[in-house]
Formats: sequence, structure tokens, C-alpha cells
Amino acid sequence: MATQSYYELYRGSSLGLSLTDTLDDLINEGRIEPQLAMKILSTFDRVVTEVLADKVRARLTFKGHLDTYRFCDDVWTFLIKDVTFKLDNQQAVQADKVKIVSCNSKRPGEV
Amino acid sequence: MESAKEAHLLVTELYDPANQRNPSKVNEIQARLQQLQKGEHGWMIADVLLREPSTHHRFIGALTFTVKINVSGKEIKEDAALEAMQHLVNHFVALVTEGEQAMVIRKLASSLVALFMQPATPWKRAVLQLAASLANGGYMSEDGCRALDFQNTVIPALSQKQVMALLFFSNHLAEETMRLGGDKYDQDVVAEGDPDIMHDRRGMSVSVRVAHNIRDAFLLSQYVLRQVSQQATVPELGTEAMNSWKTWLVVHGNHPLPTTEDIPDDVSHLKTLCAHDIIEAVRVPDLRDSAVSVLTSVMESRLVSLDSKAKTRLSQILIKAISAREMSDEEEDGDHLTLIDLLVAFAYYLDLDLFREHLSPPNSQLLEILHNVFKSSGYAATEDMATPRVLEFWNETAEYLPDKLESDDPLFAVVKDQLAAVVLGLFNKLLYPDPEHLRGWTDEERSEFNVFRFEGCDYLLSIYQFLGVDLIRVFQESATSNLSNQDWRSFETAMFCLTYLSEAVDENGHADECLDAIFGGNTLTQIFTNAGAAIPLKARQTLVDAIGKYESYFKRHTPLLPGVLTILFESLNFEPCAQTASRSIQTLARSCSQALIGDIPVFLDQLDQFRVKPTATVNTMPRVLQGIAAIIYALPQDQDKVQPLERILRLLVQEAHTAREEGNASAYESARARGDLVLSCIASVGKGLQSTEIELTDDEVPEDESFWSSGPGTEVQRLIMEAMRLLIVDFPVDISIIEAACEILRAGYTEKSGPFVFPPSMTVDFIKSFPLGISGTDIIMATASSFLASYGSHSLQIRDEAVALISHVAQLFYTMLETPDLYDPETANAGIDFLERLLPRYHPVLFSLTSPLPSPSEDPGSQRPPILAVLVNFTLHALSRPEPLPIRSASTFWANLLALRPSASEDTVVLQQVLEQFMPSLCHTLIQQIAGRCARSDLVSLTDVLRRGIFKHMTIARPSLTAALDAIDAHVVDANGQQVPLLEPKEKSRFLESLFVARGARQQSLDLVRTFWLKCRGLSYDYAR
Repeated sequence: MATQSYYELYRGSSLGLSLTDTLDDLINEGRIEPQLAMKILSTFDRVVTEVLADKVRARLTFKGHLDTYRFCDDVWTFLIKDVTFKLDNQQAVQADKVKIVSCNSKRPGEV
Repeated sequence: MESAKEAHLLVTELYDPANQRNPSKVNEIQARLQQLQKGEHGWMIADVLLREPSTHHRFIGALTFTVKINVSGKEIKEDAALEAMQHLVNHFVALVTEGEQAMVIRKLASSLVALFMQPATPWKRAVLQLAASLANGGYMSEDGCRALDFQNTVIPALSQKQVMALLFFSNHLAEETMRLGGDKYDQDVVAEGDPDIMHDRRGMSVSVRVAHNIRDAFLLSQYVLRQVSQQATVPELGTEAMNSWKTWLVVHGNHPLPTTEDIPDDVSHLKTLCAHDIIEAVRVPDLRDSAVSVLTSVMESRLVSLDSKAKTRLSQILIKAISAREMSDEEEDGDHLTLIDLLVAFAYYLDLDLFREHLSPPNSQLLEILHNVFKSSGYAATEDMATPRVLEFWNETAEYLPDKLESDDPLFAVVKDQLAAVVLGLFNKLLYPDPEHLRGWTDEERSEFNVFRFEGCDYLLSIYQFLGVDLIRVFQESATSNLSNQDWRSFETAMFCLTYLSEAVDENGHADECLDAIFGGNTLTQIFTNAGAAIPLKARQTLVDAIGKYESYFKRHTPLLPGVLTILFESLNFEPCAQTASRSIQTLARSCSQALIGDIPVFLDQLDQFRVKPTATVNTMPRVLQGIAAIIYALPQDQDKVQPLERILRLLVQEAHTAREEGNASAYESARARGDLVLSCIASVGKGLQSTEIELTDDEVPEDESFWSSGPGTEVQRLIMEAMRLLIVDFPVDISIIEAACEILRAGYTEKSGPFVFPPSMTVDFIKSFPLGISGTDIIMATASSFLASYGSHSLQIRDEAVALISHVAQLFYTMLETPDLYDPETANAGIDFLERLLPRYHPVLFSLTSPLPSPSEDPGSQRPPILAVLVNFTLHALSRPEPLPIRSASTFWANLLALRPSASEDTVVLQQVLEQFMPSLCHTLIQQIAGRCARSDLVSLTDVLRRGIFKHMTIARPSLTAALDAIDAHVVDANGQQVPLLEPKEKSRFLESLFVARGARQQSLDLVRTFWLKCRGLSYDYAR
């Protein structure tokens, strides 16, 4: 089947950073080649995307004042002020401002 | 030939069952085999293996062709490519004719595609040429094929096996084109700029050559599908042809046909003709799965445009197939689900057209099915998987309707009616299972069903914008009638929907009339207090949740409060409801506190009854108390607050004594649990007493700030302090207790006066009472930071306390510096974070701490370094270690220190002295870390310090950085085996100059540092970017 490409944005998450640090260590110790590390990161990109889509059931709602929004290169950006998040357990979390960056789950041109 | 023999042996060993359980041996064989495949004899090995009698050998032979083509592709010129092509095509034709197994044919087809993808290959209409070669029994040149009629002469001349082999090739060609992406591939070739290749390509890119095959590929699919529909060939061919059609649709979407070439412009028509045949294939049992899957996929991706004939036919077939499934009364199966998936994809595809002529077939029938799915048996998402999929369609229709149609469009009303009709069916699907049924479910099934319920309510919120209060009325009428009938499952579902819809109507009061019908009068209270345990817990739980969600409604209807609060307190007795009930009490008490001040004695009596019950836990009691405290706070006079607060706190102090006794009796678990409960309750009382947004008006008397510290409220404060003392000093504390105690302290930091506004020394004593390395240090130090921040605008008032706290941190740091075994990353991180947060307001206090750190031993001979030096040295120490959190907090500390601009001149002088003294050490540490020692994830924070130093203090940073770079003395072994310096002096100075040129720009500096780090790690490229 055709290979789908995935966003690399989750590499910037704490999980992604830790994985990259570990891969760096393994390369530094001569235990793996960078090519394998690259493959592992590609797998990470795919798996995180799939797991977030399929497995995560947690929900939250939020309310706030939409300050700015834009849509550029298929990416929506919202800047929201005075935001209240309500989590599944009814816990509320406040934030003065929140930036939401949302990408299309399918990259342009993908099936 | 030696290589070929070796390869033969290796393949034999690779497939030898004796080696299958020996992975290292298999790896060894594969590694050697790959070496041979990529080597100079690769072509010959492939050729020899492909003639072997064993399938395994022939498979590896075909694979070797692919490997060799990919490895040597760039070296292949046009003549060689043509020769290889003839050779491979002849192999392919021969093997197909001999009835070779599919795995070998597929692999060889992929070798042919790999060859096609080489820029030097002079191959244009590959599908035609391969088909003609198959029909011819051997290779046919492109010129020889040109005059052939592909559709009417070539394809009909092929046997089923030959057609299948051709489909393998066609499908693989399309997939490979999709994978590479035409533009990318061309750019790669152009970037390499090989003039021979450019010449050989004769101006024709791979993507253009691929486009020449699109028409042939569709003709092939169409021919096969026709044959299948006439049952003139095997179903497997049909499946392959459908997959080929789908893949070529994508290619056609991405690769426009060349306009200058002599290709008939009937590709779009061919696409549609194939679609017709595939739609018909849905009726054929052997082809249904493939046809449904392919159609669903292409409609979801909007890859094909169906004409009206195709739409009508698909509607008819779907209606018939799904109705037949429903009539058969069989259990839901995968077949039914795939049909539903196709129905939903088709409904999305039709979009608003589905609602035009909604009263006439086939649209009326399609809509009927989309509604009837909700009437199917079984619980959604666990037993009935079709409903969630159909609901998703309705939900999206509702969400996007306002974007697609104006509200005065006649079609808008049609869609709105359809959306409203969904509600009736959906209600039954939202009914919660009875406990007996629920017991048979796994946790995952429960979770899936709950998710579906929320999705159902999302739908209700989406359509509220069209249906308004009428939607609320539907559920209100259901709730009231089911309450009368005591149909608790339906009552629960109606209340569940109303709870979710509170978001739309609670604040604006639009549905107050409907809510009055439920909450007004005494019926609800009477039933729920008298029936007690007879009411199912789920119904009670949902009701108490609903009461909390309609806080604004009850604020507007305060006479109803006693009734609903009675229900809530009654519900505290039931374990599954207690948490929700306590939350609703807290919410209502906060919102309606003014209206409830007359009921404080009643609340306190209820509390007395509740606190001894097993449901009074750390999850419920604090919430109830926070609610009661919020009502007490609403009392106009401080004097009136004293008595109820004392009553609550005496109970809690009594519990604290009990906890202490348990601790003394070594019942630590019980003591900790009770202690945590007591302190959490006190902290919640503190939160309840925190001021709200209500500002003081001119008429109100300002608060007497001494009332609680030395006036009539002293006893309240004393009780809080006593409870804390009992549960902190010589008590087996844990992190929950520390957290609760910190919350108690923090409750007063935002207040001007009140029982929780303690003397500043109390916070200091509390923080100093914890030893190094205790779990929860981050919470303790965060409390210290909050304490200092609360006095931020008048920091001089607590100068002594600030000095005491900073000195305490310095003591901890000194201990860790002197005794490396005691180094605790959590304490280091929390302590440095505390220092960083006090910098903006308290730097004068920090800079004044130039006296030696006091020694506990009073030994005059053991004078310690100055406090400030200890603190700064420790941050540098943390910066040089591998632990990530201290590195980050120390980086932030230094970045802020370097950017600090003190307002007082004497502070500026001290800061300058500090920087001059410590800049060499700082630069040395930073350069050592970014020279490959730190983790990649530390680079961002370390670069922040570096760029601030360069931008803000260039003069003192330059010599220090130069010296730090000079100190790097690492060596590596070069290609000749000689030890050479890792970094040449030129590279070091270029790096430094580039950093200075960047002038502190974030991204530029980070890119430079990352490149430097990679170089120091010996990496020639960044695999992670």
C-alpha cells in the first residue's frame, strides 16, 4: 500500500523529546545508526497520531473569548483569552490566554 | 559464478526450517545476501536465481533485481535501461506463462516498476507494452506496440493469469507513483543535475510518463470489471481491478494528463464507467466486500464524481441490500456494518442533495434507513456499532448546515425537520442499561457507551441552535411524565440530556419555564426524599449532576433552593452519588450564597450528620465544607462568621487529635488518611472564604484587618494553626498532607484579612520545618514563591522573612554541594525555581546577602562562603549536571538574571560584580554542555542563556566564551586512523562570530548551537529534523 506521511509535531512533546534524547544516546554509544533512529521517529510520528485518534477518550470543554484567529497553509491558529477548561472529572482549569494550533489530520493531497 | 553459487546456498539456508528459530543466523544470512545483491554481480545473481526450480529462489531473484535497480539506478544509462527492461519483461512473460506463483509475479512486477521509475528508462506506455509482450509471448518494443488497439485487441488476447499479472504491475505502478509523489521525484533528479540523465529523459519526467498510463490502466480495470459482471472471469481479478481503479484515481488526481500528447481525452468518462461496474459488483456476493470497501474509500476521499445514473443505481442497491439485512433479523455482522459505512460515505457524498426531493425515492428511502438505524436493537457502541457512525453523519450535517444554507432557504427547513426527527430515535439509544445488563460489560464497553452518550449530547447541542427551547421542552416533558410514572431509566436519560443542554440555556434563562415544570413544586423533592433507596442510583446521580449544572437558574429561583439542597444532602448518603452531590452542593452554595445565609444552622446540622458517614471522604467532605464556607463568607459582619467557623474547626481539630493518636499508636496509614482529610477540609474552608469578584462599595465598612489576628476572631485562627501543628510537627506526613497544608497557607495569600491570613513567620517556619529531600519539595517551594509574590508590591514589610527563606534554600544548596551523595534533583529544581521567581521583586534582598552562610556548629574556624555565592555556585553546578529539570530551572534563572535591570544603582553595581565574577564559569559550563555533552532537549534552554549573555553583556561574555571554546580539547580518529582535533580553531571562532552576528535572535542562535552540538557528537546530519 501507499505510505502515508505524518506530521512531526509530536516530536516536540515531552515524550518525543525524551525519545529523541534516548536515540541520541544510543547513537552516541554506537548501538544504533542514525538511519534506524530516523525510522523509529517516523514510526513514533505514525503511532502517536493513530493512538491519539483511536484510543484517547478523554474529553474537555472550554469557554473563552476568541481574540485572534487565522488560517494559513492549512493550519488554523486561535488565540483565546480568559479560558476555562472543564475536564471529564468536572475539574475546572483557568488560563489567561491559550493558543490552539490545529492541523488537518490528513496532510494535503493524502487519501 | 561463485557469487551466484553462494547466493543460492544462502537462500537455501534462509528458508531452511532448521534456521527459522535462530534469528542471529538469519540476520547473518540476510546481511551477506544483501551484500551480494548490492554488489557488482547483483544482476547476474538475480538472473540465475530467477531460473532456479524453487519458488523461494525465484522470489529472491526478483527481489535482487529490485535491490540492484534501486542501488545502481543512478548509474543506469538509457541503453542499459532498455536492455534491462527487455530482459525483465522476458522473464516476466515467461514466468507468467509457466503459471508462476503470485508472490514471485508480484515481486517481479515491483522490479519492473522500480525500473520504470528510473529517469533514464525510455519507457512510456508501460501497461500497454507489458500487455502486448504478454500477448506476444515475449518482449515487444514500444514502436511495435504503438499501432495496437489496447482495448479491443491486446487485452482480450490475454489469459486470466496474464491479466492478473498485468493488474499486479498496473497497481504497483500507481502505488509507487503515489508513494514518491511526482513533483518530489522530479525535483530530486533536477537537483542532482546529472546532464546525461537530463538528456536521457528527453524532457519527459517520470510523472509525465506515469500519466501516459492512466488511460490504459482504467481501460484494463474496465475490461476486467465487465468480464466479472458477466461472470466470465474469476472474482479475484475483479478485486484486483477495483483496487487498481482506486489507486489510479489518486494518481489521476495528482498528475494532470499531458495536453500535448495524443492521448484521447476520455479518462474522466472511463473513471465513471468503472464506477458503474463497481456499483453493480456490490450485488455480487463474492465481490461485495471489495466493492463496498473501494466505493466507501473513494467517496470519503471524494476521488470520483458520480453521474446521476450511478447515484440512482447505488441508492437502489444500497436500499435493497440494507433492507434485506434488516428483514433477515440476523445478528449485526461485519457485512452489515460495511454497508452502513458505504451508506454514510454516500450520504456525505450527496451532501444537501440527499435532502432535495426528500419525499420521493430514492432519497426518502435513504433517509428512512438513516433514521431507522436508531431503532435497531442493542446498546450503541457496544452491541450496535452502526448507530455511532450514522450519528456522526447527522452531527456533521447539523454543524455545517449554517455554513451551507441561509435560514430562509426552503431546503433549510427540510434539513431542520430531518435533524429534529433524529432526536426521537436517539433518545432510545441514550437509555442507560440496567445494573444487571451493565454487570456483563467490560470497563472498555462502559467507557465506549459513555462516550457515545456524550456524542449524542453533542448532537443535541448542535441542533439546539435550530430547534431552540422546543428541544428542551421535549426532554422536560419526558422527564416530568417519566417522573410521575417512575420510569427511572427514561427519567434519567431525559435529565442527562437536559444536563448537557444546560450549557445552552442555564445562563440566558430561555428555558426557565421548562425547568420550572421539573424543579418547581414539591413533587421532585418529595419523591426523591421519600422513595430513598427505591430510586435507581444512576437516576439519582444524573439528577444531582443536573442540579449543579443549572446553578444560574437556581440563582434566579432561590425559593427552590431548600428543596434541591435537601435532595443533594440526602444523596450524600449513597456512595455512587456522593461525589456528584458534594460537587453540586459546592456549586450551588457558591452561586447562591447570599440567598442561603439564613440556612447556615441547617447546613451545619446536615454536616454533623454527614461527617460520620462512610461517604464522607476526602473527595466529598472538602467540597461540602467549601460550599458552607462560601455561605458563611456571604454574612455581612465578621462577628457573625466566628461562631459557625469555630463550630466547623473544633470538629476538625478533634479529628486532628484522633489522627495524631493513631500516629502515636503506629497506625500510620489511618493517621495519614485522617490527617489528609482534616487538612483538605480546612483548605477548602479557606477557599470558600476567599473573596469573590464583588468589589467594596462606598456604603460598606472596610474590613478590620486585626479582627482575626488579635480581635474576636483569634480563636478561629488559633484552631486552624493548632490543626496544622498537630498534623505537621512530629506527624508521619506524606505528600497529600504537605499539599493540603500548603493550600491552607495559600488560601490567605490573596486576602487582605481573614482567618487564613496568618503572620508571615508562620509560612517561614512551615517551610523551614521540612528536611532536605522530602517528597513534595516542589509544592513547598512553590508556596514560598506564592508567599513572596503576595507581598510583591510592599516587599520591604517581609524583608526578614524573605532573608530567612533565601538563607534556608542556601543551606539546602550548601549541603548538596558539600555532600554530593545528598544531591536531590527535585530539591535543586524547586530551590532554583524559587530563586528565579523572586528575582523581579526581591533581587535587592538577594544581592544584599553577602555575609557568610551561618554555620549550625558555631565553629569560628569553619566559616562558610557568602550566601549569594553559595546560591549562584549551586545554579552553575546544576547547569553542569545531566538532570533535565535543574538544567531548565537554572537556565531560566540565568537568562532572567542576565536580563535583569535593577532600578537602584547599588543593585546594578552588585549585579555587575556578580556577572563579572561568574561569567567565566557560566560560559565554560554552557560551552561544555553544548559541545555534545547535554541532551538535545536541553539545547533550547541552554541557548536562551547563551544568547541573553551575548546580547545583553557582550563585552564580558566574549572573552569568557572564547576561553571556554579554547578549552574544548576533544579529538576524533580521522579516515587515516590519526587522532585529530574534533574542532579546528577556525571552526570555534566561526561559531562564536556567528553567534555574535545573530545578536541574540532565538531561532538563528538555536540553529547555530544545534549544528555545533551535532558536529561535536560526530554526526554529519540531523536525523531528527
